[in-house]
Amino acid sequence: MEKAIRPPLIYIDNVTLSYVQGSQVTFVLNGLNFSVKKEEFLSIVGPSGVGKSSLLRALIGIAEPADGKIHFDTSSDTSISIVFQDSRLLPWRRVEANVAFGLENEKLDPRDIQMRVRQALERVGIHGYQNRFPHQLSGGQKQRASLARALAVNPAILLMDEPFSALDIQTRHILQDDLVSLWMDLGKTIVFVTHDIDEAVYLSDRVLVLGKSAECTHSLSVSLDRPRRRNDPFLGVISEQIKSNIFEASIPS
Amino acid sequence: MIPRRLLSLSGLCIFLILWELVSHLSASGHALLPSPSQLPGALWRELRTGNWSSFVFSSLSHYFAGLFAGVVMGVIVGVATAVYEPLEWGTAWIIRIIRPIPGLAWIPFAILWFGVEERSAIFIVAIGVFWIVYFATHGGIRTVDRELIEVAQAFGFKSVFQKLVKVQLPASLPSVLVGIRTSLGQAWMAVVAAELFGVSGLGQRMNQASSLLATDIVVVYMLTMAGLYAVFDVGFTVIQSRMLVWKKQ
Repeated sequence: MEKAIRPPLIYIDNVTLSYVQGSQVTFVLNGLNFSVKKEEFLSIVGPSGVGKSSLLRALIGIAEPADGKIHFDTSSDTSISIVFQDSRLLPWRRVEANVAFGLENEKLDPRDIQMRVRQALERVGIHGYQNRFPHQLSGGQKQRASLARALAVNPAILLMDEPFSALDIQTRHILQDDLVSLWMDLGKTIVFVTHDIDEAVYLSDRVLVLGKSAECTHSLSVSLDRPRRRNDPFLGVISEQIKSNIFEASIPS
Repeated sequence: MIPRRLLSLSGLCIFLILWELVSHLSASGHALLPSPSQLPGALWRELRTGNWSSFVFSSLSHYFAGLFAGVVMGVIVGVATAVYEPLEWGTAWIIRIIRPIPGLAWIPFAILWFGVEERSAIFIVAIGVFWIVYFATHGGIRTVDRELIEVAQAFGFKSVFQKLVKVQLPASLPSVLVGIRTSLGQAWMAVVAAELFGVSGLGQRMNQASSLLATDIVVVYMLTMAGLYAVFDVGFTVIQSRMLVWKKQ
């Protein structure tokens, strides 16, 4: 008997996005179509200005598509949360209060909030820093706190907008491995935006290369077993393939 | 290197000595410039008669009432115009016209509307404080990092009220507190000016004393105001640093 084909968790349906700079409106991602499967780790790469971050903003509901629609599978949990590029912790709140931020919208008992905050901090490895202010944290600690804030609301979908780009390479590698462990433990769907192709290939099940139009958008599967090794030559092959796709995607039509 | 405290103390002592000498050597005598050595006696007389405490208490009541009213109104109007653009545009020219009018120019209207009473002094203080706090609040809200507001939206706080409470107000607190601290001194100037016209307080007493050439009493109350302002300012900075402990050192 054939298995029932599950609908994708997220379906981007002919979406065009725009952003305003001064008095000028710029359209990006014209007529984009792609889907994200449940529990998939999808990375999104592409040239600067193509609309990667705008796409995440549309997914989280901060921005409306100029055209097209974003569909979520209503038969599944599609709660969604985000980790921003520069942590964006609220500077006047201690780490504990920052992590509890999203939970304040859920009308929970304070003890439940405290418990979920503690669990999130432990999961990302910064339990013990809950009473510090953001300015007292290192870059890596801030990103861990930002990740804890996103995880505390227990989302089914986690969006990450270049979360490790501002970190040194050692911290980045540690956080990448921690993120993969978390993903494998918790079974979340992750949509990860990065400009680092090697990072995208190392982390993901699939890499979506965005171009300025739908025709220039490509999707490549990364069918390598986990855990992955950074010096695996196949990672290099796939990275080179993606880089050539990005080169094509950046050529003006 | 001479320690800073010793330098400060030395400077103050030299100033007092020079002041004493100028006062004694002046042809017009102590009437035009009382000497420092006269001041303790003048202060004692004011304390003994109960004048000092009575006038200080009156001025403080005008000061705090006016400060409170000005701060509250400044914050409310500042927040409203910063958050609701039509209101900002609608009041832009009104503010441009009214803002440059000095607080003291409102005294005739204060007397007409409230009489030579406490309320007129409170009104003059409140006007002076209002503009400082209004611009500090408005500017503080307007310059809140858009990315922090996006954080609130991303975590489900999408209404104007929610964004205001969760992000904009706490983020603008440093600016608002700077406005309030600035208005502490402005309020003192307004209190004295408002009381010159007969409302009971330090200003009235200074006016009475100067008309009788009791300039030592005038200086006593000048120094009283300076001392009170110093106490309030130091106290406020302690409160301010506690409230802003989250800001980078």
